[in-house]
Amino acid sequence: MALAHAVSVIESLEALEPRYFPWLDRRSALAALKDGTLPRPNSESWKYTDPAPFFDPEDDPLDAEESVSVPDLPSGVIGFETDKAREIISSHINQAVDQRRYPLAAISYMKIDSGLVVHVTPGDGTQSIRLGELQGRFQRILVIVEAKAHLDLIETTTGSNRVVECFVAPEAELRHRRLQPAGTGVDYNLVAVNIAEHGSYRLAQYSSGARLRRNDVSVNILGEGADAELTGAWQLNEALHLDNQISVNHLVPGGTSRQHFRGNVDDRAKSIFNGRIYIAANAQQTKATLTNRNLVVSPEAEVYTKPELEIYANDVVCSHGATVGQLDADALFYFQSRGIEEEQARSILMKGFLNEVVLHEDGRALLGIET
Amino acid sequence: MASTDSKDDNTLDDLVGRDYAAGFVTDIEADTLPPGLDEDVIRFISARKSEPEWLTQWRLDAYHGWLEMVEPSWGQVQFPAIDYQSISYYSAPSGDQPKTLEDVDPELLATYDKLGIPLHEQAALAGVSEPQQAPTVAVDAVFDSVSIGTTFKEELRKAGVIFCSFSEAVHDHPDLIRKYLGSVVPRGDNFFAALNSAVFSDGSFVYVPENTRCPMELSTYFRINERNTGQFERTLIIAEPGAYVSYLEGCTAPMRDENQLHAAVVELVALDDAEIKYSTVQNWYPGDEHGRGGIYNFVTKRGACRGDRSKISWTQVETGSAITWKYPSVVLRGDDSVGEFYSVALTNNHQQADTGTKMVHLGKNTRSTIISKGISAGQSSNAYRGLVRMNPGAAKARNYTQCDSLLIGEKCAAHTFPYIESRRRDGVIEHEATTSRVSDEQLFLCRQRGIEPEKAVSMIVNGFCRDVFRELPMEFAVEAGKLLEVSLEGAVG
Amino acid sequence: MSLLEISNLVASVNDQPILRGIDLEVCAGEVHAIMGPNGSGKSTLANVIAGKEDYQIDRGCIALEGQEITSLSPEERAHRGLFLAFQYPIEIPGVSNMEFLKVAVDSHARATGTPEITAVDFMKTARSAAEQLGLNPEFLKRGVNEGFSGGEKKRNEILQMLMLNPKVSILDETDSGLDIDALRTVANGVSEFSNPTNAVVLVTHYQRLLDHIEPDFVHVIANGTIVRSGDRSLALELEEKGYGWLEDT
Repeated sequence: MALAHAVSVIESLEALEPRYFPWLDRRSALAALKDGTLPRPNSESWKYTDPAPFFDPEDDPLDAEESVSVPDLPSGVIGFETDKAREIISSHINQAVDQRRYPLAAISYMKIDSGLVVHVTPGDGTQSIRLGELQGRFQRILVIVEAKAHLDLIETTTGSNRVVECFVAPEAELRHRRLQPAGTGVDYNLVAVNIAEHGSYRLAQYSSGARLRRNDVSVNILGEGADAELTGAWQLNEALHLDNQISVNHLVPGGTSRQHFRGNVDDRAKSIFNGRIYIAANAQQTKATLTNRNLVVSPEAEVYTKPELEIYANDVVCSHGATVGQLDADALFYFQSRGIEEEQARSILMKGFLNEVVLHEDGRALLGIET
Repeated sequence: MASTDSKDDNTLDDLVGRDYAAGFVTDIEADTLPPGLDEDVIRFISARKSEPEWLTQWRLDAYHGWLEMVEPSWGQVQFPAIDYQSISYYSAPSGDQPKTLEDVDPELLATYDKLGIPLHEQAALAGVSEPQQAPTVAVDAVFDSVSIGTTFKEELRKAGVIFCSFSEAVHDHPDLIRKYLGSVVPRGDNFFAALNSAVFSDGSFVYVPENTRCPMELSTYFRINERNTGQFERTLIIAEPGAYVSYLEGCTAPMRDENQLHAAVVELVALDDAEIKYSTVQNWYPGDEHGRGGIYNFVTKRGACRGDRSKISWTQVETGSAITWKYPSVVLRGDDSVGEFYSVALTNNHQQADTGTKMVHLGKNTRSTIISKGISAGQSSNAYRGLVRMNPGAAKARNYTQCDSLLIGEKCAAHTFPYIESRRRDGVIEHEATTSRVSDEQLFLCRQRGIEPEKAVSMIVNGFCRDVFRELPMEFAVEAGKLLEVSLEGAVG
Repeated sequence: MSLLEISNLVASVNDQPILRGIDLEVCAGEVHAIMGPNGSGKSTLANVIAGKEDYQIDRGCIALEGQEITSLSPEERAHRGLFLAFQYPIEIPGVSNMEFLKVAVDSHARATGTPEITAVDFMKTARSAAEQLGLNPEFLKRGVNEGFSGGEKKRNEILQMLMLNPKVSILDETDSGLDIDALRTVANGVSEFSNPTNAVVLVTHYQRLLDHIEPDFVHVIANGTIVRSGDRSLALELEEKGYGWLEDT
């Protein structure tokens, strides 16, 4: 994306008249966009995915006439347009999102046309909330789990630009299951999470690809004893594309995190994974691990993986591992020697490979690995 | 696994001597160009070496290409901008080049004596007569920008091995130079390679003929003496089918206040069934405790495994430099070729290192192994940046990578950025990385057994680096161990 | 002759008092046992004597052969003949047991001005000590405690003790995690090591070890002080009645 294009993106944003929620203060987003740099192809975080289609200045929010309030919202969920949402929105929005690092989230905020607040208190018991198709091109979902509360959030992503911003209060627990069916367009999803002391965040992400699909995940460990566990599996076929950029940021001492992602890449599909563990200088006593395993099935499949460690503290225990390979030949032979045909043996082994990180039936269904 | 090591015996005494041993200056009249870079400077360098016209033109083309390029700025490394016009690009001791060792300025020889370099042929020969000694080493010494003398020329000549300065090779073996120069690292490859291609002063040239095992380890020492002289070595090593050569590169530099630039290019070519082993123990001046002075080390090193079943191994121990930015690489083009990278990079005080390797798999059944150990102490920053790429044609390629970081002290940083790119379904890539620190428990155990804390840290660090030290030629292994200790001093609070 | 003398030792960690006034005298040729319930301060005492940095000595002093060592570093205390066998021996990967031992032995020799042992003699001694303790001498080539079972780690501690020949050895729960055979081997090693010129202090929770190494004195620690001292029969009494009855008295 040439510089001229970047300039026109910013110009069009400056000229933008917000169609929705005009009371939202968008100045921080614009400042972040001007202050930072919009990605160019081959810039570090867009090395293998062309950013241009994501930054289309022609991409407009829905017309004001179209309704964006979702009927039949489950309890605990209110739309941005409701009056009582305003206070909680103003006190939380963009507190977990680094708009300089994630310019698409800043753009999404400027063009926002659909918003939901999910607010759970301890009195609610263990809530289970499903969020699926939302109308709107630029969606924001704020998830606030108060101290000692529990929430199971089941989210199906759609072909749009969506930012899910979560706040896990002290001793609260947020279990986030994310289903990403195959798509035909260009999707962007950011999950940004702040975890306070002894809070816990679990992400289970099950994905297929899209024409271009980009998942950014940013988890901030902000209190001692905070814990994050991120698991994910993907099955990519045809010419689908999936780019996962995960960053777990340990900003205080005494946090723990584990990342475990596995993918199976077939046909002419392309899988990009970047898992980063960032440990700030004062974040002593951190324990963090990261594992990424990739199976490559077809000759034209492409896998790009980069597990990163950026560590500024010394009293930490950190490790990561990544592999790219194919099914174990010995295991295949073992199956065949018991009379199972190669085709079926491959299928069973591949399912088993992914299954190690799949915790949910609907995840299995999405990945096509039900037994 | 590890075995009894007697190399640790004298280390206590070495530790007590705190000065950087090679920090002195030789008082020799030098022929130095005024600072600045333009076509005239390049023509001057070329003329001084009596180079053929094609090479002068080659340099000039590189220079014009360089003018169009932008200095790279990625990486975890920060440095004040280099003013390329304030550097002098040529420095040589005065007078014509000496023909024999007897012609060499005795002050120069004394300098090499001080550095413990066995330049004098008699001393080296005396070493040969004792069977228990390490294998003989032929030394080509480079003082600033000119190669001074080469030992063991006769024995090598008998084996058909050519080991001489790059400048000599241009005159005596122009066909080889013309054929291979820039074939592994093209002039336009990157900013510093382009600069080097324009102004390279001298370096080593090695040619090992077919089915010949080079009878001794070859070695070159470098020194940067004059203020503001960049050093731009150019080294080319060619191994014909079935050849084997082990090459050692070791460096020292005197203390200076201003930073000095080192932008070398090393090209290795291994043909069918050939093997090149290239080892480096880098001992540049790292800057004082406040980060002033020290060498900027921007190097492009690449090995081309052109032949089937060829093998190239890079082994390095980096402790010096204010800033180290180098990624020795191997392009695995031949079928069944093997690339290896073993590295220990230690940073202390305010040093910064962004180093690693690139293994590019092109041919069939290729294999690469990467073992990288990073040690950060003081307020330093140490990043491993690696690339493992398997191209669509690289059937059954295999890679194993292990990168570990050890943090000493509380203000240092260690990073790992491994890029893994696979476009092959039958390739296997395994990458592991761990980060740890010298734990209080380990330190207390050692101290309770009577081992002083600095000795304990260096022992633990040596243990951490064992897998890499094992790959170094013996005399380098000893130097490496001592080097780590000297570089770690002050790191244990 | 008094080898180890502790007077009114008060020590804390993170401002939490753990030792609240310990008095102990260990003379040459003696074997002492220090027993006590979990949390009583047994291991703390061992680590404080060895000079571990996490602990703060608020009052009192520790003397080795009449010389105060409270201000000395851990390695200085070691050079003067103090040895601590750790409760949880730590691993040091990449550093072979042989190398570690040699460096330790040489450090002691340098500090005491005694001539260094030759590499050949050293290896011979190390191997025979290993065999004596039922350890395969091949293990000397492996990294310090790397991949060792709990029992092997404990035996490795005793091996180091034999090689360093300390005046005062403190064995911190050396018996925990050992099976019967290993226990016997270790106990024999320690018994044979004990002689009229050195002293051994066994820190232990169970009296099992004391069946194999007969102590001259048994002390019971509770809440950071020695509440009772006696001879072997005290250990048997504890075995029967547990630690609870001491709190009552």
